[in-house]
Amino acid sequence: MKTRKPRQSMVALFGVVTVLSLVATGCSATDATGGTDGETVKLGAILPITGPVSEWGESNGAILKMLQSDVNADGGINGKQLEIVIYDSGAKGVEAGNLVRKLASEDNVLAIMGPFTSSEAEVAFPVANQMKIPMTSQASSKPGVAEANRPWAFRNTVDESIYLKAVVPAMVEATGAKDITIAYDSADAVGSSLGTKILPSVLEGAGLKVVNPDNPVTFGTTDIDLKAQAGTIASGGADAVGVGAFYNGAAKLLRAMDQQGLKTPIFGGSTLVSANILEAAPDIPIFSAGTYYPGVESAEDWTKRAVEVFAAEKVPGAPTMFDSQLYEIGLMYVEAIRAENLDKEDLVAAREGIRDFMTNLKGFDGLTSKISMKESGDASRDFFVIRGEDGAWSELKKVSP
Amino acid sequence: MLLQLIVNGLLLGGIYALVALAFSLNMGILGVLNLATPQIFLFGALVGLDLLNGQVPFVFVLLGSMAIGGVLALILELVGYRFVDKSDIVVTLLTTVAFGLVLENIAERVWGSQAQFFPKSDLASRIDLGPVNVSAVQLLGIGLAIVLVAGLAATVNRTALGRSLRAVAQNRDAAVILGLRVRRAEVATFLISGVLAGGAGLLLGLNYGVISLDFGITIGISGIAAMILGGVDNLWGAVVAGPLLGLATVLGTSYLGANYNNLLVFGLLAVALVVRPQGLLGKTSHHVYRRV
Repeated sequence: MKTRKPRQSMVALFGVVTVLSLVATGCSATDATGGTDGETVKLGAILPITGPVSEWGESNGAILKMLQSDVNADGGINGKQLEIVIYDSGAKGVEAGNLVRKLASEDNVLAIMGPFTSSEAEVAFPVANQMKIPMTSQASSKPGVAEANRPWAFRNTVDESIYLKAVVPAMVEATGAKDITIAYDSADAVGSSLGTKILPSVLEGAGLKVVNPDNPVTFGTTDIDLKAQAGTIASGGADAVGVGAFYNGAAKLLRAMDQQGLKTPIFGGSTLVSANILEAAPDIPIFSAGTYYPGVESAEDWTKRAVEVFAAEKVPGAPTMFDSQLYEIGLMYVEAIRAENLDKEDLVAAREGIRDFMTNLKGFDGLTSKISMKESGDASRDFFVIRGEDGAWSELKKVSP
Repeated sequence: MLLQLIVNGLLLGGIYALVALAFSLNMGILGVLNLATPQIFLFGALVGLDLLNGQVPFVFVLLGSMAIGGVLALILELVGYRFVDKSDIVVTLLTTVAFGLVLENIAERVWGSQAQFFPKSDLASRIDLGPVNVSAVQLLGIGLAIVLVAGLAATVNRTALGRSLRAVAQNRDAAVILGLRVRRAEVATFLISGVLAGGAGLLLGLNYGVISLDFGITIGISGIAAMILGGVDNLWGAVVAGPLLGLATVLGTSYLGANYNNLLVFGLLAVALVVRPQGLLGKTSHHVYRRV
């Protein structure tokens, strides 16, 4: 077998890397004044199209195609076509941070929609502040994430503690629960925050007893065997389980509980709301909250169109509140650009204009509610307490700020 | 409660043992660390789920899962082993990684990234055995592991194919010179390991009622750990180590919490290897080469 001398191999490797770098740079080089190039207005989006919350990422991608099509069918933005540049973060914080840089400095978009999770936002929002580009998350709900990253970071979401303060009384009214077990995903930032801080605080405020305050039930996002956790829940004898996890982890816990014959209701924040979790154990009631659910009257037309788009794009399930919130973010950006003629400004001025529009947002017509922006960078808006059972979500009550 | 946890851990370990066997076969006989095994495992589960949803009788579902595992392993043998330079272990390692990534991408496109739930089955229903309860599928898993290991041991020790496998494991070049059917042994190794992985995937999905793309990595790491702990060159080692690791996983989660699970499991592995580097049942002979 031929062998190269080490020095020749290093030179060859260096040459390959250099050529690849030049090609990559060349491929991604854009006009430095970009964002609008005379024909198009560019917005960016960072979505978790693959990874642990891919169900939401895939539907978000379809919704952005719908948004682009709707805006362009309506005449575009001041005569220019809207183009949305979408990248997949895989729900990874580091990747989200890298993609902010790419969208801001290579694609030269005016503003960014996303990222999805709070774990990503904690990495990506500081980068957005560095790059001075407005960025609005459609799903991050861990308290304080936008507040820690002013003035460029925003969230069209409701803080999980606000959701839970409405969910808990509704759950108690429906089930008569007094004793609660807390279970959470210790491998995830949002799950840990919910399980260790938000849930205990909300439950204490509601006068409910936590049966395992010093020894909560924990599991990891990628854990397979949750029988032990389900067994602990069963032996604790609680009336309900407060779950701090995304839907994928919660679904595995539900299935493990169901396999052991447990029908204990579970409740949590918006991280539970998905079509996938409803398949895990249809008999076990799930109490949660969100700003939208399929069937909400005020967004009936939008839901119908979204369902058609999902069918065309082969996206499973029904639209969720993360889709409606993302669509609203897009509408906000479009309105900002139209109203302030930001498509005629240079990139820096356009981004500052969108930032100021978002900061001063008052009474914006969302799909299900008027939306204002708080000083913290989080949205102030109505939401619904919902119950999932037998494969569908239904509304329990509407809550106004 | 403790007794139930022990039973759950040992039964989870049965599935680990099957996966560890799949790894052990390739590693022990061919010196190949087949990192596509987790994805073959996933395909077994996902294809099995589709067959179950199609109301196919369970026996054929199991055979189907094992068959898809075998077919994928044979494809890997053809594209990632047969024509590559076998003297460089990094090359074969990388080809299996690449194949695994391709399979994962295909799985994502076909089935999606979200968890897939198995229909409720009588096999998953609980059977009370005194103070503990088990499911039929858990018993099936451990039984299958025992049967397969016994079958493998018989094959390796009493058949012409087994002689070829042992010869190739000792010295491939010498086996070629002696005119043994080395190609047949290599193909058989991949085939058997794929069948084991595919079957284990279905059993895990039935046992937990759910399968998700991220299961592959978790199971793969546990399978490799069980292979190393048991002894890379001893098939029985996987059968011993698998249940031990399953036990450590379940007990660790229950008593220490999920955060400490990996620390406990792999900490114990590290300690065991310091005390006995060849694994619990591995040989200490200086004739055994370190493969990885």
